[in-house]
Amino acid sequence: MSLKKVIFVISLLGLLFIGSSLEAYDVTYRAYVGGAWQAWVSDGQTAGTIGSRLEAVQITLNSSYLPVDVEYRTYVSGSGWQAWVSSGATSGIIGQNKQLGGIEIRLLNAAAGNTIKYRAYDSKDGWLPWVTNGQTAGYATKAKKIQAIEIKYFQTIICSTPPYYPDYWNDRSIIQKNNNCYNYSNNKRTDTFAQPGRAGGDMYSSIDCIEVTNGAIADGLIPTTASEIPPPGKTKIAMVIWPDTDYHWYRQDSDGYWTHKPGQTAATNLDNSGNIITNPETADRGGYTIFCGYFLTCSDVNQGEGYANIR
Amino acid sequence: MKHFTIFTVVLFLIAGVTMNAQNTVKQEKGLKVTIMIFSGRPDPTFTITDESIITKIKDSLGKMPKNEKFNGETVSPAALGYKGILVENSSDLIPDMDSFVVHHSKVEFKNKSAVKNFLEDYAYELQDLLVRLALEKGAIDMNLADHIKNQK
Repeated sequence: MSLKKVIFVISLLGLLFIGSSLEAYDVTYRAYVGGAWQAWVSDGQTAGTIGSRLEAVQITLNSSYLPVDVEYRTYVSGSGWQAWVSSGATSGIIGQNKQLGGIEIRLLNAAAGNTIKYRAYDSKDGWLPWVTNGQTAGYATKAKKIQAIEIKYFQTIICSTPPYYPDYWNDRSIIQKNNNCYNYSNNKRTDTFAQPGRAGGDMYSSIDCIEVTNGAIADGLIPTTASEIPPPGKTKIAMVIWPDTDYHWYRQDSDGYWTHKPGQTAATNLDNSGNIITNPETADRGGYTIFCGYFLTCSDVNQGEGYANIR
Repeated sequence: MKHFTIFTVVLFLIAGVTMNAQNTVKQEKGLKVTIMIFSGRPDPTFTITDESIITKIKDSLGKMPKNEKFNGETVSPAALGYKGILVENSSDLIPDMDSFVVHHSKVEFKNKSAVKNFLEDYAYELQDLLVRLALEKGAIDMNLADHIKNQK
């Protein structure tokens, strides 16, 4: 096999590695040290090796909530500040024995309150203070070198309860067809017919209260009771079962009434008898005879923009 | 001579790929049937490729009278349980059909220009045929078939 083919295969394997490693973390990054890229690390872990030359970095952000991206630039000893790059591109100069002297990182398209926080390890002074949102980590001078970095990303999420606005969901097209009761109750459009536990790594294996509940908990939903008043911003949702056949979810909107979206049909505030749903426990639910319980989710006033980790 | 041989081999390869692609497309053509019955789980689906059945469905649709009284947006109720059967067309045998939804006697037919017509199938023949096919294909079991039959 020629050298070019070897490099191509290695690159493919690298891409696979990047793809799989991005799933679980918000900010992921790696360092080029000693003539090679180190493994990707994430969320505050150290990239680089103390005592070794740090020549370049790659940083990427995985936000399941918003179209946020990260932009960064490095100060290269002897060459100065490099151009801003983003989305996992290399910043630094590889192969010329040049070391990084500083780094600046900032967020793109981020909502207020979202913060990227990072620090650099100086070859003489050790870990320097944490800085945020575009500030310089490192001294950015020719005489000083950084050997490692650590990055953290903080998302400020404000939960809120949506109003009943079925028009968003009832487009008779992509949204309506590809988002089910679980999407609707969590007020999160995924276009995947989201399944309890699929995102959280514990998808139900049978249709019963325990299995579907465990899946929902794995996705971050919090069990609650009928009488408990949801904490500020949290939305109460409810799950029912058609024994051994299917599950269904309802949500309580900002007006206190309950609404739902039966599969790929339209979202509605009516039960199977055509009555407005004031209580999912007593509503006409057809074959969904078993009431499993209530949960809390982090929703949003905007339709389809809830924050639950569902897929 | 060597170039001619390479050219011939490449030509055959391209022809083979093209023929395979055509076969693949042909295999996918038919009627995609979705039994709209679940809320959380994905609905059962299967594909009808048997030309005699497709022709039978076409003839059945052609004979149905228009349902002039129906004034809803869709025949598919936003309710729990059976919500109708969606049939999406990629067959050349029904050239003007985009899709239809049947729910008991009511049929919502959409043509390629997205114009909808509501039809009436008094004897539930279309729904019964599709349920029977779904059972044969293993897309649903008898419990679901009974639910469809008994649901109002």
